[in-house]
Amino acid sequence: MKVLLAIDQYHSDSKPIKLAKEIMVQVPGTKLIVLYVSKGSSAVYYRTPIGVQEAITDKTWQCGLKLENEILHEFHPWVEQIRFEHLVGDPTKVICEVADEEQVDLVILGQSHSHKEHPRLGTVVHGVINHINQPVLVAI
Amino acid sequence: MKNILWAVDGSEGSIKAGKMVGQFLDAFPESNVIALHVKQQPTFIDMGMGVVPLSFNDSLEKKAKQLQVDVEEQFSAYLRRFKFISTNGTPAITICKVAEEENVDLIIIGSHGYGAVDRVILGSVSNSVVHRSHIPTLVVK
Repeated sequence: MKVLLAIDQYHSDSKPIKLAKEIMVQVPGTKLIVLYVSKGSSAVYYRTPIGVQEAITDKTWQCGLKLENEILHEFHPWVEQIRFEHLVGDPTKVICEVADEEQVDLVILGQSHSHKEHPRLGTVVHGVINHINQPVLVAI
Repeated sequence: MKNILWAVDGSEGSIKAGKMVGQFLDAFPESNVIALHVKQQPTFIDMGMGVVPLSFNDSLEKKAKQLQVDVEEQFSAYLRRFKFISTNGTPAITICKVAEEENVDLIIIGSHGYGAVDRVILGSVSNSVVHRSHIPTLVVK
């Protein structure tokens, strides 16, 4: 089984990470790709590539490295089965593309700022659900 | 993961979701599955207007029974861990309500159901469940 976990923040008790761990425990041999997408500079026109720059600031890069360390530490029993990727682009598009390229069996999405009383979906989660070809597990 | 709720309506999407449920049952030997079928009355009936012909209710009932037979046959190997529930109501709201009542850990739902508009644009029930539910929801394409 191949699982894609798309995250933007790390909390050891966040639902997506818990679920991913549960799957790693229950299904031996599962390969996990942890994807962190940072948004490059926005396009001049909505949904066009005009003016998009795939460059990120040093601060964003450091965030990615920090997240990678935290994730690798969290999933240390499965170091061989896990891969961290930090990509730049439109999050919805990148998540769908990676899911297609890697032919994953399951995509796990979460929300960093969840409102417990009124769960509201973010635009990325909404976009991914509508565009992706793989099963999506939304954990908020 | 102990309780899984599978929203089923007999459509292609829910059958695909059923295959996923099978995989989860294999992977999590302690898990139980609740297959939930929601019989939806026409919208104006919910609002207290109009009269439903008896034959309409009968056909919903008949469909639900047939679905139960099909689903139980599909999961005949797991019957001890399997429960079929059929209720009336608005699908998305009922699914979320039952999921919370039954203390479910995961909702599995097909992305597109039987609704006419749903099939063309996007699954309104799955969309609504994802938006409403506090419980992790797996949308199967």
